[in-house]
Amino acid sequence: MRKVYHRLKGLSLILATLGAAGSAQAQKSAPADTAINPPEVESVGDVVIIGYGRQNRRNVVGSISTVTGKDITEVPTQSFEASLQGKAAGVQVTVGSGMAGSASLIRIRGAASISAAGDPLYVIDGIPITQDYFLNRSNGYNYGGGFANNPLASINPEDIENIEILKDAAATSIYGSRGANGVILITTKRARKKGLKFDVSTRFGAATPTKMPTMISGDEWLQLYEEAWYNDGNVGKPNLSAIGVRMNWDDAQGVNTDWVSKMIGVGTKQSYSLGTNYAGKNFAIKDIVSWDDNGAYIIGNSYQRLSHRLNADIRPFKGMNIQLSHSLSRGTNNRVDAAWAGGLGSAMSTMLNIYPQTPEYDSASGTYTTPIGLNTLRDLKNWRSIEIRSINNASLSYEINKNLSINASGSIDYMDYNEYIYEPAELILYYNKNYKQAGNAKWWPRWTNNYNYFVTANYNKTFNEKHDISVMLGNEYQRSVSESKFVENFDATGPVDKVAIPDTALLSRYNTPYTWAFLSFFGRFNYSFDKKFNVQLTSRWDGSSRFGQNNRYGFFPAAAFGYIISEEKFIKRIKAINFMKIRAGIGKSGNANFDNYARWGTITPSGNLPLYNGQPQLAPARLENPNLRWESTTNFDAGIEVQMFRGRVSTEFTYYSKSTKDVIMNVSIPTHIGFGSFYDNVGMIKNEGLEFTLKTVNVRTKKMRWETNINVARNWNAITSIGVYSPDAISGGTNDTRVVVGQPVGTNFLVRYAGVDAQTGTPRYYDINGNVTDKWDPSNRVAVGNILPDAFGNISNTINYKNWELNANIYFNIGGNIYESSLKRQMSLITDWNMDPRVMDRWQKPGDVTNIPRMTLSTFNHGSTTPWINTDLWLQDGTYARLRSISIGYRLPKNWLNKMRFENGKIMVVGTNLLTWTKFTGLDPEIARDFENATDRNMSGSITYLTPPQEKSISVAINFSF
Amino acid sequence: MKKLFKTSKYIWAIAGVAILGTSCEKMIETPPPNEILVEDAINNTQDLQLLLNGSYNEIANTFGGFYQTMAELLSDNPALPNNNDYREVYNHNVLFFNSTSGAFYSQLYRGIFRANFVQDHIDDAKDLTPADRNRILGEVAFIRALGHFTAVRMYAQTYGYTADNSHPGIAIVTKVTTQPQARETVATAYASIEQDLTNAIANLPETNNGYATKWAAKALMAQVAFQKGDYATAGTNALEVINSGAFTFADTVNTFHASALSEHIYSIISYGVNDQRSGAYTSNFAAGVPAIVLAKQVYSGFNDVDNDKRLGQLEVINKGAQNEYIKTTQFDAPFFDIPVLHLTQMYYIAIESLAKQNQDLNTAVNLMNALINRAYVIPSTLSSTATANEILTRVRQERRIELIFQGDRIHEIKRLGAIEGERMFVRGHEWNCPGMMMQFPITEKTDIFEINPTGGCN
Repeated sequence: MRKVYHRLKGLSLILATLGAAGSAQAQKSAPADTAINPPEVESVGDVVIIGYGRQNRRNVVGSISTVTGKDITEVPTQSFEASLQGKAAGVQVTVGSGMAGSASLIRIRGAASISAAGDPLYVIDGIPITQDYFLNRSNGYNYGGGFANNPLASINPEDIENIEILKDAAATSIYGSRGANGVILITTKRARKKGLKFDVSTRFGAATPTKMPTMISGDEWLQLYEEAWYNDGNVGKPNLSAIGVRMNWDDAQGVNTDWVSKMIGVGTKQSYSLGTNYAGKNFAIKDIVSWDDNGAYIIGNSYQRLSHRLNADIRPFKGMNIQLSHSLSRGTNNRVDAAWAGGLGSAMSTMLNIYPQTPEYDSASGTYTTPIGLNTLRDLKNWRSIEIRSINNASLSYEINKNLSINASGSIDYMDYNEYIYEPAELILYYNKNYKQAGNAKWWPRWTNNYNYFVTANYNKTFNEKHDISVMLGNEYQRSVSESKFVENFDATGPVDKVAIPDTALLSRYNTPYTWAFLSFFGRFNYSFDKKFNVQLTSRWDGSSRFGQNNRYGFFPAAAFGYIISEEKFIKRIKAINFMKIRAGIGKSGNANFDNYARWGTITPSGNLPLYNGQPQLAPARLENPNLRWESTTNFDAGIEVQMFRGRVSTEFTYYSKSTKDVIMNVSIPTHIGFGSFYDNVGMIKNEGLEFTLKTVNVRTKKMRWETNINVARNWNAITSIGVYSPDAISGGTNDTRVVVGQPVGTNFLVRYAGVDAQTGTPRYYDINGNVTDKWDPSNRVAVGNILPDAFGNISNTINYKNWELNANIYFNIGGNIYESSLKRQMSLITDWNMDPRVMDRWQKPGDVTNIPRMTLSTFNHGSTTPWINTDLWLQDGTYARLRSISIGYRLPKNWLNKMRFENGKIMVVGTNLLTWTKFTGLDPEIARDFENATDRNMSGSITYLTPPQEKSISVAINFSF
Repeated sequence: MKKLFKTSKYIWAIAGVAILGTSCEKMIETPPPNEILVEDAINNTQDLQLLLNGSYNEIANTFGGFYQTMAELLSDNPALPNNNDYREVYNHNVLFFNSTSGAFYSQLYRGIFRANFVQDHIDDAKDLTPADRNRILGEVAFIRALGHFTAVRMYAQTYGYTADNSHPGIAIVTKVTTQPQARETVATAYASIEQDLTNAIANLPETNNGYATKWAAKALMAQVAFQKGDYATAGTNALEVINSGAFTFADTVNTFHASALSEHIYSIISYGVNDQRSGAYTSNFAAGVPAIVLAKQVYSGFNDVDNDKRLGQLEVINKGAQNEYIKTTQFDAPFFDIPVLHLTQMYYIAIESLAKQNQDLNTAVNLMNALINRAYVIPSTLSSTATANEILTRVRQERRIELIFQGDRIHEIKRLGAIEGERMFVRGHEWNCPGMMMQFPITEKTDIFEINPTGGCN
């Protein structure tokens, strides 16, 4: 072997660059942090990762945005995907709430799914990873505590070299039935510098809410209650039992416990990462060890991630490349209840400020008459989610000759997700005075093994110097098997993972495995003429375990061309233009991210059902849908890229049109069919949009560089069909939006509020014809808003002056609506809920002009037979702009560094979300709430329900390499 | 090593092609664990029998008090309930988001679906005898008729609301489908129900271990015809059941009592405290302060309370106080069978049908007197020469009391309004105002299915 190594003197760093497939074409340019001035004309000679291969950026005919690792790590986030916000036109990233580890909501070029997951496909080093936000759904605990597990949180941002976002069919149809909502290709870092090098980075920071939730005081609440009491015609001293509060009126006076302040503190953050880089002649490794402790402002809530990556590149002999990638991480989410489930959510709702800190005990009944303090509850409940994640890939490529190469890749993504809850006797005794045991320990584990292989054969040839062709053929198979159980012990002295529990004490229930598989064949043909005209044809056949008997395989073709006009003489004459390309493409891709078993007709075994008439029974469990298939999106994309004035100005303008049919709807089929709901290909959705990016180098001198990046996207979205169904046919869990033909996905479908009668103080509504009525009737609901913004984008400015760097990112969102769903309980009827300060503007006497009706305890006084009514009174404009990040960095002087034997050194102060500009009167205009299922994720963005606001943070980062 | 790879470089290509060609269907077949595929589940008669029992299970969940609760709430029997969903029914203003009404509706159609499922898979049982086949299809038809009949009575205007019954009825589902069905007219719905019952009568045996029998189908046919005002068919079927000898008139006024089992033509069976199907009756009519208690004005309208054993089952709690209420003790047993079709009902149908036709009044009087003698401590029976009108007056008066809390009253109000032309009101709402129908769940609304107007009773 040693001999072989010696013969391979020519090993270049190419092997250290990435690429899942084929022969290396060019080395990726070094990221910008190694030099103040990046290459002037970036797009020439740059390499882009595409599906199953790479391409020279100038030959790319699809719509692909690249985000560098630096962009990902520079600003601290709850989870790496939040860093994609504002980095690419048309990629809408709604950052998750202030909870540690929370997931962002990403939609690429609008919303094209309803009940199938609308998220893009995430591929890390060649494997579509486990990305199910509701993997634990069968346990009933996937969104416990008002928080769904984020399958991306355990991925270490420090591992990421760069991210490619594939947006149009030319780029995504190679991913066939899974590409329609875009593809996010993540490539991890590999060794790139010769010799042995180290990178050390650390960060310390602190976080508070972007806006502090405030509630009215106990005294104010009592004042409102008293007002309602007399408004309703009651006499005498108000009695709190009318709303089920067991407190005496007099005892409640003057208590004023501020529960919100007991839930919120300062989140502290620290992270450390050590990267080791070694590249020899025929062997290179990259090793990254990181520890990240990300504390949320919600007391007791944090996400801790310990991770390790080892990527190795071996070139045993000429033509052969072996790449091994391995990561192992442990993400520990220290959980607290939030939103609807408790904690801060309770402080904003059921935990009235009239409740004393220590619950009042009624010795006669042996029970507590006021609720246990939220802080006590939080401190006693021991709750952690621990995820062990390991993503591994081995890829081998061999150049048979200078034209032909073969690549084989195998990956496994292992996820071991555990939910541990321990409630000691002290806590349970608050609810159950007869509890005699030590405590209750619960454990929900789920193990997911997701693996794939693919092989590709690549052929490249140049004819007559002007004709380049390249052909790629491939085959892929992927399978994921997920198993779970539930373990509970009622007499435990600690959590299941901390205290040994005898096997006999464990109850094991619910083993609900999920399995899915895809078998695919694909190919790509590229033809390039004279370095200026490029044509690409791709196609993929996908078979999936999810597709019905009559539609086992889907076919997804695409064709695109790119024309580098700047190679033509008539453009070359224009000195100002350095590069100009027009491109257009059309193709088909799909979305198959829906229920694994919806196609099958099954029967529940009699052992799982009760007897009737003393006899066992069988019952149909699922209705077969033999026609179930992928959502199919036909995507047209056309764009122009221009670079001018020696790279001082570069711009790109793109138009796209996406027509999606066979949209999967988990339709609440008409009840008379006899089945609750059923997955079917029913809907049609149209997305159309424009994307614009502009990069200008405003100042470029030896000492100073000022660069501005602007991107903005406008999307028009409309559901064009939902078959014969009505807007209420979609069972979306908690969402308050509906599917309405002619309106966008996630339309606020509400009764219109007509204000308060100034004389009586009672609320009024509009009926379907626009006439004012005092009766609330859901038959009068109309489309009044929607969750999708009209446009969104980002403005980024970077100024480098000598060793200093200033960067500011402003993200903006224009249009769209926010529905504050919880206000119907916080600002309307008086119930056992705490109230929002905005309620103080209520009607009090004849002549008062306000939108908030007079206080009452009875829903009938609001013209309704049901208490919690949705109206557009709680709907607001969702426009905002936010200083997403601002940073000041100082690059340590070279001579000083050299003395210390350091290569690079940088100190940086970063602030996130420090400023928000909006007319929205609620907490945070950027909302990705606690979704319950995929439909909810598609339909309920921008709906808040006691959702914790995002955090704002300040941190200091120090990076060295040597 | 290099040489090895060089010489075998084509092995790579071959291996690649080999894998490319491996199109194995099994690689992408991942059926759900823990559930049995339909094709593997149904092989013999026993499998069909278990599936059919699953359908009966749904019927049991519907008629174990749920249906009766909904029907009573629409009628003039109960006092204002506390529960919001119930209040909407009581106020004849059911919103399409009313989850209780929605659950009731879906419960009804789940039973129908499961029956259809059995029918559609009947040929999967390889060992099925012709006799079993007929019986099973008969049971399917009976279950479907019972479901559709209940749905059309609760969710559509009653039979006779329009002269030709062309007013909107319900979806008629006679096979397993995932396609939304249109809303059929009431005439079509009744025709389908009668067709199913005709088939059931022809195919069902006279005894069937607690499941549907020929007599059950005839009893239901009597009810259907009676609702239509087809008194000839109603009377004939009711009398056939009465005279069959299969059921004996019990010496108790509580048809739900264990001593009245001999009257049960088709009932929901409770096997014990742990396998009881009377839970909805217990929770809505018996436990604690029940959701359904008798309206005070109804109670005060009864003038022979002490003499009437049926009214003796009513208990006035907190008498004279602000929180006074009147509950029934009829459903106080921890578990009991719920007679969906019973002999007493047949008596009432037969008596009124005969009187309406002015035929065989002697039989009508005898049946009426049997009921009267059982009901009163000191009975005042009808004379053997009573006229048809006298019989009619008496039978309606006794029925009002006898079948209280069995879900009968609302349909009587509607029948008397639509067929007999009387002006019938419930809490000031006339029998034919829209709110007297239950509202469909909103998911019913499609391009081919218009739901009911909300409320509209003033």
